[in-house]
Amino acid sequence: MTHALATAGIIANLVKNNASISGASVGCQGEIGTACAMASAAAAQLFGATPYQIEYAAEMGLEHHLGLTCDPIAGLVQIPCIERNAFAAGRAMDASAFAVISDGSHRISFDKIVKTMNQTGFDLPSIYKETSEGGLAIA
Amino acid sequence: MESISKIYKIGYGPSSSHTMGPQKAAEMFIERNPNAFKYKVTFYGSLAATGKGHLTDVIMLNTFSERTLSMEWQPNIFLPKHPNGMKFETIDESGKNISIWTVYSVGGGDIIDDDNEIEHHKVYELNKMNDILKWCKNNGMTIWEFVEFNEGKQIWSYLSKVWAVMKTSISRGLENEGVLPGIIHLPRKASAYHIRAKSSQGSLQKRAMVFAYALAVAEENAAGGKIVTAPT
Repeated sequence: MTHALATAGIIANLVKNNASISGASVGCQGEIGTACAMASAAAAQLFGATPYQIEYAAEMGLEHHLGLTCDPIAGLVQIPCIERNAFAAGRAMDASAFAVISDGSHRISFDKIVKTMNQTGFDLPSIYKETSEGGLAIA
Repeated sequence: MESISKIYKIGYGPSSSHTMGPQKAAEMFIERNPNAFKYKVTFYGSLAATGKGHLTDVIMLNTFSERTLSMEWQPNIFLPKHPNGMKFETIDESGKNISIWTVYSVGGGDIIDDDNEIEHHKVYELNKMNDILKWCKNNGMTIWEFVEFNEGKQIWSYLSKVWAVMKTSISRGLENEGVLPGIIHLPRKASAYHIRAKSSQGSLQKRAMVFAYALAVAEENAAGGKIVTAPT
């Protein structure tokens, strides 16, 4: 299990270095999106994936959270955060299964999706970046 | 890149910048000033605006425990260095300030003050996935072996500790019931999901277990329980 945590740690380290893991900087895509990429990579490794399949799993975990906003109700880490974590855990299982039954080849690399996530976060208005001034927070 | 141990932080939820950072600062301040008559903490900016929702007040009371502590919240005053500012003070019997320390919670549980910045220790030369995959291929190794190659074997004892805290937080979250702290009075769900998961079968059961475990940790985090924050 610690080996899977190590692999997931590399995924997060890459995002932290080349983009951001802070909701205030890039929105939820950088937080739960990154967490999902970590879990996808860890699960893929536990299912016996090659490094290329692990990279694919992590890439999908992040890619399919692109654009995700951080707009928690009343500034609490509860809605949508708690349920969203559970969904991302499910999605990580899907990403790992998808990667393990693939041959590992795919068009968009993990490095590219990290860069794209960072740019998307930069383009997001600040009301969607942990300020509770938009989206669900004012619904 | 730095050590992956910086990615996994053991501490109390729900927010590393609102609970772990202030806790670390408070512990350092108490260590330097263990026997003050009274202590005072003032929170500024974002930390003051959302601190109570994020349980900053609770973690302060727990950290100062039996010592006399007063707290002040200044959400409209932003200190120049960072939006999450704190000022720690000791006060003697005559009401005089003895020791003052201004400190900032800059995310991920890290703190800086007016004299110090965060120190970065580079552990990894490679910082792109493509380069890491190439390294793995050339050396016939996998990603966790890349981690051990760069971090040394001591990383495994730290990750074992992380894994132990993760498992404990899951167990606690599956046991604890009731309403989470905060104005929206959100009830916990993990326990009920776990019970239903156990009585279901096949692929539904597997998925329901994933949901129950994830809910358990997220709810423990929201309640200010001991968890591993990752990524931080």
